[in-house]
Amino acid sequence: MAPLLEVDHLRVRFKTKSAVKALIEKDDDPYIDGVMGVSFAIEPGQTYGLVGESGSGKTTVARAIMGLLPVHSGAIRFHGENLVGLSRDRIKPFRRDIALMFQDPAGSLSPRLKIRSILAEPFRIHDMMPENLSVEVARLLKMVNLSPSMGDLYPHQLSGGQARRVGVARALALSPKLIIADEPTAGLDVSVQGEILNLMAQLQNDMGLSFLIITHNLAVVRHVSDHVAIMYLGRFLEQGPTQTVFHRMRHPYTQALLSAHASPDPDAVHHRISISGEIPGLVSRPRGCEFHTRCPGVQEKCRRQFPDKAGAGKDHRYFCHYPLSVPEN
Amino acid sequence: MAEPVLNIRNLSVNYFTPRGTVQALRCINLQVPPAKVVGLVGESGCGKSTLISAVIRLMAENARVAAGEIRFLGQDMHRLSSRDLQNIRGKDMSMVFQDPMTALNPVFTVGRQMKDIQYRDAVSRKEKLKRASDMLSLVGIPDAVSRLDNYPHHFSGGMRQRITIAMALLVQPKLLIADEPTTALDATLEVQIIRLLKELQTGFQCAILFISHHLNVIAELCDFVGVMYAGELVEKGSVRDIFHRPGHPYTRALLECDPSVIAEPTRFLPTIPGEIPSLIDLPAGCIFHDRCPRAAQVCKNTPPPEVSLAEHHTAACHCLEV
Amino acid sequence: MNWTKQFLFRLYHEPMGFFGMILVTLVILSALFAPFLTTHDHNALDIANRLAGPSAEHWMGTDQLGRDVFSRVVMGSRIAVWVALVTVSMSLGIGLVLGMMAGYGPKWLDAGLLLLFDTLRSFPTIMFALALVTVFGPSLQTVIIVIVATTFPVYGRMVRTQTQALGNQEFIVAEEAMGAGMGRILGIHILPNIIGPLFIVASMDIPVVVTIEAGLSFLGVGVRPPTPSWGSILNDGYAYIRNTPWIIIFGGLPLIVTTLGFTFLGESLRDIFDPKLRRDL
Repeated sequence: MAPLLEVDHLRVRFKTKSAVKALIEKDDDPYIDGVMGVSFAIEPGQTYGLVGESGSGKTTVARAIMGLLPVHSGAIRFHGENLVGLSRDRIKPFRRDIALMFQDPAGSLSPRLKIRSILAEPFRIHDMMPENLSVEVARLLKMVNLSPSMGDLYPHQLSGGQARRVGVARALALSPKLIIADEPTAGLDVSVQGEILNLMAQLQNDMGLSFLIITHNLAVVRHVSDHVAIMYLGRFLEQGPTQTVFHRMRHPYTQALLSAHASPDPDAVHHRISISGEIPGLVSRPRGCEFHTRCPGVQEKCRRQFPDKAGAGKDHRYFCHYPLSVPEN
Repeated sequence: MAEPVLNIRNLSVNYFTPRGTVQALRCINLQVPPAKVVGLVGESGCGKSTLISAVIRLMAENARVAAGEIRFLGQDMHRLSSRDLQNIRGKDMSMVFQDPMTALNPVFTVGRQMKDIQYRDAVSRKEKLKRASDMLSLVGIPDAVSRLDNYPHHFSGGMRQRITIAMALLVQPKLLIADEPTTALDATLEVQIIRLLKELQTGFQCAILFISHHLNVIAELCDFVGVMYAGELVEKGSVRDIFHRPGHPYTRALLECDPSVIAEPTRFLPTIPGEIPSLIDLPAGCIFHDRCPRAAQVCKNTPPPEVSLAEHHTAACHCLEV
Repeated sequence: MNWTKQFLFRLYHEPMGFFGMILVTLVILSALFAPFLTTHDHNALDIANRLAGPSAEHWMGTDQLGRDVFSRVVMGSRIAVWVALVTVSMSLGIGLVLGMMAGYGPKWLDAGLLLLFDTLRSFPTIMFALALVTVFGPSLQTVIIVIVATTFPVYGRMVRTQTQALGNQEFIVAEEAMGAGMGRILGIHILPNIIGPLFIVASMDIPVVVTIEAGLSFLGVGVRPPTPSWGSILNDGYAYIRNTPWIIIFGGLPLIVTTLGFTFLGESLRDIFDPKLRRDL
C-alpha cells in the first residue's frame, strides 16, 4: 500500500542572526540545524511514534509537516504530493486532511471563546459551514464522549482530560486522514491517560485514521504505535517496528531510554543503563555521533564521524558504530 | 518505629471559597520516621500540595487547619511563633520544588545564593563557599569551585535541580520535602536525580517526604508510601506492601492504569472511570465508592474503617480481604 | 446579565471606585445636558456685572466680560468630554491596529512601526502643539491631532507586546495549523484577549487628555475663543487672580473632579479585572 505520509530526508534549519548581521560578521552559515534529515513513512490506518527527550526536535518535525516552519531540504509527501514549497493557498486544502493536537490541553483552546465556537473554527476557516452547526458540534462532542452541554463552557472551566477531548474533537472536525498528536498524554493523570489513548484507538478503528504520536513517554508508545522512531538532537538514532525496537534494540540510547521507563517495582534489580549528562543544545551540537558525549560505550571513532545507516531486518534502521548485540529471547 | 521526625495526626484542612467550604484534606494521619523516605502518590486534586503547604505552614490565605496537628521534631507547627518557625524552615526542614527553572534567583550567582542560606552559621565567608562547592561536587556538578561564580541561567535544567538539592541539603536538614522534583525533567535525567537523592539520603541520613504522581519514581526511592485520593489518605504502608500487595481498590486501579506496568502491548488501556467527587459536597460513605468496581451498599452509606493489613500497612476500605 | 450585576456589586464594594463612578457620571451628565443646565447664555456679555462675585444670580460669579462662569463651566464640560472621548478612542483604535500588526506581522514591519512609535513618543507635546499651531492655526482639531499623535504610540507598544506574547501560545499556533488567516487570528483570537486591560489604561488616560486639552487651551493654542473650554476659562481668570479668584477656583474645580473621578474609576477597574488580583469569578 502506498504510504499516506512520506517524509524524505527532511531537514529544518533555524536562522540564528539576521541577514545583515551575518553579512557584517562574515558568517556564511548563520544557521543551526533543528532536524538533520529524517525519513519515515506512515501507512493509512497506522500509528507512528516519535520518541525523544525535550530538545530532540520532535515538535519541529511536526510543525514542519504542518507547514508552520520553513523546510530547508527534503520532501514531505502526502498522498504522493510534495507539500514542501507549496504556497499558502495551495497548502490550505491539505490542512483539512492533517490535523494537529497540541501539548497543552487548555492552552491550545482560545480562552475567550466557548467550546462551541472553538469547534466551529475549522469549519469557518475552510468555509465549510455545515447546515446545522449546533448539530455538528454536538456530534463532535459525542464522538469524544462529552455531553453536548459542554459547548456552552469556556476552556478554563474544563478539567485537563475534558480539554484534551475537546482538542481531539477539534482535530476530528474536518474528517482528517492524519492526526499529529503532540504529547497527547502530557499533563494528564495516569487514570486519564488511558481514556485519551483508548479514545484515539477507537477513532482509529472506526474511521481508519492515521496518527503520528510525538511523546517522551515510551510506555505510551509501546502500546499504541505500530512503528517508532527514537530521536536525539534532530536525528532518528533508531527506527523500526515497535516490537523490534523495544525488544531487539541496537542503539545504546534506545536501551538507556527504555531502562529509564522500567515498570514500578521496588524489588526490581535495576539494570539501569545509566547515561550521564543531558541532551546538548542545538548550538553546541557535538561532532561525530551526537550521542557520544553521553554514550556508555563511546569509542574514538564516535567522536570523529557520524555512523552510516545500518539496517537489521525489515524496516529496522539505526545509526551506531558499535551497535548492541541483539538480546536473546 | 523510632519517634517520627514528622507526625501528622488527624489533619483536616479547609478552603473557604465563595462557592462553599472545600474540605481539601480530611483526617490525614502520616508519620515520617527518621532517615526514611516517605512517598506520597495521588492524582491532581488529591490534596498533595495542600498537605505540603500545611506542613511548612505556608498556606493560602483562605485555608484553615480545621482539626488535627502537625508535629515536627515534637513541636506543633501550627502553634509556633513565626520566629520559631523561621528557625525551623531552611534549617531542620528544607524543600526542593518542582520547577528548577524558577527555584533559583536569576540575579545572584549560585555561590552567593548558597552562601546566603548559611547565614545562621558563624563561620567565615571562605568556609561557607568551601562548603557550597563541596556540596556542588557532591551532587555531581563538575568543576564546582569555578561554577560558584555562574548565574542560574548558565546551568541546564538537570544541573539546576542538582543545585536546588545541594542547597536544600547544605543546611543538613532533618527533613527534606521534595515536591515533584523530577516532573519537569526528561526520563534519563529523572533517573539520574533519583539515584542522586537516594545516595545523598543514605549519606546524610535525613528523612524525605517525597511527593510525586510518578509511580516508578516512588517505587524506586521510597521506604514507605501513602496513597491519597480526594483529600484522604486511602492507603499507606511499606513500599513493597503497596506495590506488591495493594489493598485499597484505588491503589490497585492506579497501579493497573500505569502504561509501563502492562507487559503485553494493548490498544485498550485500563482507566478509572468517573471523576473526583466535589470536595464541597462530599458524598456520604466512602469517598471512592462511585468509581469503585467493588462498591457495595455499605460503601455508599458508611465511611470505611481503617483496616490493618500488615505491620504499618493500612487501608480505608469496607471490602478488604484481610 | 449576571456578569454586569457582579461587576456593579464589585464596584460598589470598592469605595474609591464607586466615588469615581459618581464623579464621572456627574461630568458626563453635565456634558450631555449642558444646554438645559446653564442659567445664562454662556457667551452673553454683561459689562455692567463684570467680575462679579458668586451670587444667587451668578452661582460662580462672572468673568471680565460679565459672562456667567457657571454656564461657561458647564458648556466647557462638553468640550472636555468630547475631546477626551474622541482622542482616547482614536488613539486606542490606531494603537490597536498598528500594535497588532507590529506584534503579529513580519519582522520588518515590526521594526518600522516601532521606529514610528518611538519617534512620535519622543515629541514633547507642547512643542509639537506650538509647531502645528504655527502651521494650521489654533483649533480644536489641532488639539486632537496633537494628543492622538503623542498618545497612540503608548497603546501601540502595549498592544505589540501583548500580541507577541499571545502569538507564541498554542491556541494561536493551533489556528495557524488549521489554516486561519491573519485577520481571523488577530480579530477573533488576539483582540478579545488584549482589549480588557487596554480599556482600563484608556480610562486612566482620559484625565491626562482632559488636562492636556485644558493646558493647550490655556496657552491659547487650543480651542478658539469665545468657545468655553476649562483651559480658556482658567486663562481668562488668570489675570484677575488677586482680586477675583473665583474664576480660577471654579474653572479649576471641574478639572480636579474629572481627573479624580476617572483615575479612581480606572484604578478600581484594574483591581476588578486584573486576573492577578482577582480571587475567583
